Amino acid sequence: MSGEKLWVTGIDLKSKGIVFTLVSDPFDDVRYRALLTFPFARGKMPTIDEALATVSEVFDTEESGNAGPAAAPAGAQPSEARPAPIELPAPVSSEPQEITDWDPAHGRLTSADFRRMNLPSVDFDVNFMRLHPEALDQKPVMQYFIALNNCNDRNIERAIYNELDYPALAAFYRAKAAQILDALPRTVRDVALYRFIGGQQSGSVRLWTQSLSLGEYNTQRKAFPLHYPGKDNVEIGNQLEIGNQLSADNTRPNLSRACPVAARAQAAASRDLPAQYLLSIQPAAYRELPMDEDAARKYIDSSRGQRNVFLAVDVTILDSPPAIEPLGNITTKATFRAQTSRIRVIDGNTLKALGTLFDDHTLPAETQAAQPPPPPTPAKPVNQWAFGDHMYEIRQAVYISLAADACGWPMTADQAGNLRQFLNRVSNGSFNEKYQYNLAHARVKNAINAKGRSNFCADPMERRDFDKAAGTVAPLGPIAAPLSK
Amino acid sequence: MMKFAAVLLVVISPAAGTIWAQPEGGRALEDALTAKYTLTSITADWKDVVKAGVVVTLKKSNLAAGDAAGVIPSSNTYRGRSPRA
Repeated sequence: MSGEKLWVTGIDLKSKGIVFTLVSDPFDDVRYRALLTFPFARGKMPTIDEALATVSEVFDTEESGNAGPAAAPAGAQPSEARPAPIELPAPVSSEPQEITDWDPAHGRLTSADFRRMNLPSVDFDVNFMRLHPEALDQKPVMQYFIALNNCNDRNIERAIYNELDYPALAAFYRAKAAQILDALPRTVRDVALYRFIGGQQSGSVRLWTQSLSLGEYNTQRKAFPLHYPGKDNVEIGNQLEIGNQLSADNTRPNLSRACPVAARAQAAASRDLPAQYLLSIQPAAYRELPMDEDAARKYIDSSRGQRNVFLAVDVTILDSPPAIEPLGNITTKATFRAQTSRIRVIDGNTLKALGTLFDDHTLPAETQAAQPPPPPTPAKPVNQWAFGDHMYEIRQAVYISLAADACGWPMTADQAGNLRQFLNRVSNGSFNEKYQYNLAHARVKNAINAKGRSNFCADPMERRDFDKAAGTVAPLGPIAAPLSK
Repeated sequence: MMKFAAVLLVVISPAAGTIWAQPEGGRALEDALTAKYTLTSITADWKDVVKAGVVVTLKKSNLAAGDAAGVIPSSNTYRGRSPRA
């Protein structure tokens, strides 16, 4: 299957042909490398036009998302370079299926509750529980999770902290956790970027000296140039640090108001949850904010020369386990892989959106001063960011298959059939699929061998993990679902 | 000293015959290719992109690739129309 995106790290002319060195983006923290030789016919070197024509039979090109002036193609003037990010990630769904068969006797956190709260700390905590379910084995985290499901139920709050009532409550929510968490949105909105540049912290006040700003409107390009101090563009790196959301403007409710029962539980769970969350995203660079002249005129008049702006980034967290690293002696930080869904430019004075730099249109539209034309949507997933769910699916499927084979653990006939077809498909699929399959296969085999098959199969924790994973295989879950016809 | 020099000569000679001497126009071809396919620099541990070049989209199937940190990279040959066809 074609369509993978790769970096070119070397082009060498050898005696028998032209050799390209190609490197992928990381999959599960591993980059893949390939040499691709275009052999010379009859040993003779081709003309430049012939060589370019042949190579272009194999590759399409596009500039990279973080290519600044130094990385622009030869001959291109930086000021004439395209302002939009080059790498256009394929949209991923941020609206999971809602649960329809729920016992109303117990409270449940829904997508509507989640959006109503609109608290980044909760968004990240919940996504952490979803992608790192082991966290729920810690009692304070489970208490926090139960509390989030019962925001206003003081009877549940009492039961959470009563050792006679808690076990049954915990057993119920432990069994339902995956179902609840999978139904919640993956989107985190309004991560503020470049709101403060430079300066220093003084108590709770951030004293900043510089800001992102808009330059003089370019009537030919119908756009404001974006000025980062000392640069003629604004770059979005591959990591966003959370903790700098728009919530700083106090327009969001706090947890004690949005979900009173969870406020105490969140505080208690904080030592068992990461102290810091990071988002790993695809880098991009932007040079200008498109805006029509009428809107630009209004903005210029209203800004009175104060054109400081910042970015609000909306991201969709991908279904890969977060990378958890120590942050201090007892605290950790977690990095989620995420895909940018939308980047808006916010007026630093009014905190209103002035326009949009990027939008994959997976989020509901809002009033915007100007919208650039929608980026062309790739026909299918194009890179690791879009592939995240699928690669996770491959790893899960390989694990379930090997564990079931090794221990004779049960699955239904439908599940076994779906799993077999899926693994057959990916093991003969694209090179990314094949390598993810091979990588997972080797790792799971090694893990089973390292423990010894009989020990592995006798371990109740392994069995529990298997049962949990097997419950996600189609038709019971989304893993290895047959292709729609 | 003479003996040492002679040994060196024996060692080097066979290799010298196999060193690929770039033919005339080779540099121009390399320049043309790197102008179109701007190279990307990656850190030695293969983790981070230092300087981003072009991103290429593969139009053909079945490219084999291995762990970038491995010693021997996976080799592939394009069997389509050759540059000199």
